[in-house]
Amino acid sequence: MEEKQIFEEAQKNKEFLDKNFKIFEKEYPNKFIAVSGANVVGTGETPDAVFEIINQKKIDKSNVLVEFIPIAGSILIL
Amino acid sequence: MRIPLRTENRGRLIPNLFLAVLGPRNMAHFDAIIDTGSDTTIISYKDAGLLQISIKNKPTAKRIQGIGSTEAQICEYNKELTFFLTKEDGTKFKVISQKTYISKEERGANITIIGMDFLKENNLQFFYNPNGVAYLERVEKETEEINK
Repeated sequence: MEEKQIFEEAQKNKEFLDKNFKIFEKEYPNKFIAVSGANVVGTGETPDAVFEIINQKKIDKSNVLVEFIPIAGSILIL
Repeated sequence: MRIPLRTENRGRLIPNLFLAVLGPRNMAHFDAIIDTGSDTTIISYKDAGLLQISIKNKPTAKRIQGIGSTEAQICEYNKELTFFLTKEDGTKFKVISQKTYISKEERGANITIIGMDFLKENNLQFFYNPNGVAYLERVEKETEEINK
């Protein structure tokens, strides 16, 4: 896949994730989710658990976003 | 040259941006926050995994202490990573880093942090108005661009 196409795909995945974030907060609190092709393709307690699913499904890591879904209302302190 | 930032991330007042990073095997995309409280740029465990960088046997280089009693361990990564930041005209600002730190913490929010070292090395100024706009600005004209 060309660089430009990879950027565009990532942007679409990002928009999907942002748009549905409130739903994900309810469905997957305190979990990691993977998004590819504007679909949730995996969830897990840890990044490695999600990567295992991605690998099983043979999804290119360049085309996937993995994000932690915090518990709704929790405060983020670095 | 300006790199727009988002002023909040899902209701939280945190300056952040959506990054593309080219690693040794692939390109990955993830959110990163600008953290003026950190002098070190740190790629999260999750984002290192997306870049297919294994840190399993890497020794701890530093321990990071935060507000609580817990501390995070980070390790050095001494291979090239290329960061792509999106400018206001949609083209990319490319930064090549030869040394990066990676968090060894698998649990937790797993957020990549752009620290003050990144801003200093790349001559980037940081502007943040929580009620308005946020951006990074580079005054120098030595930039590398790729077409959008």
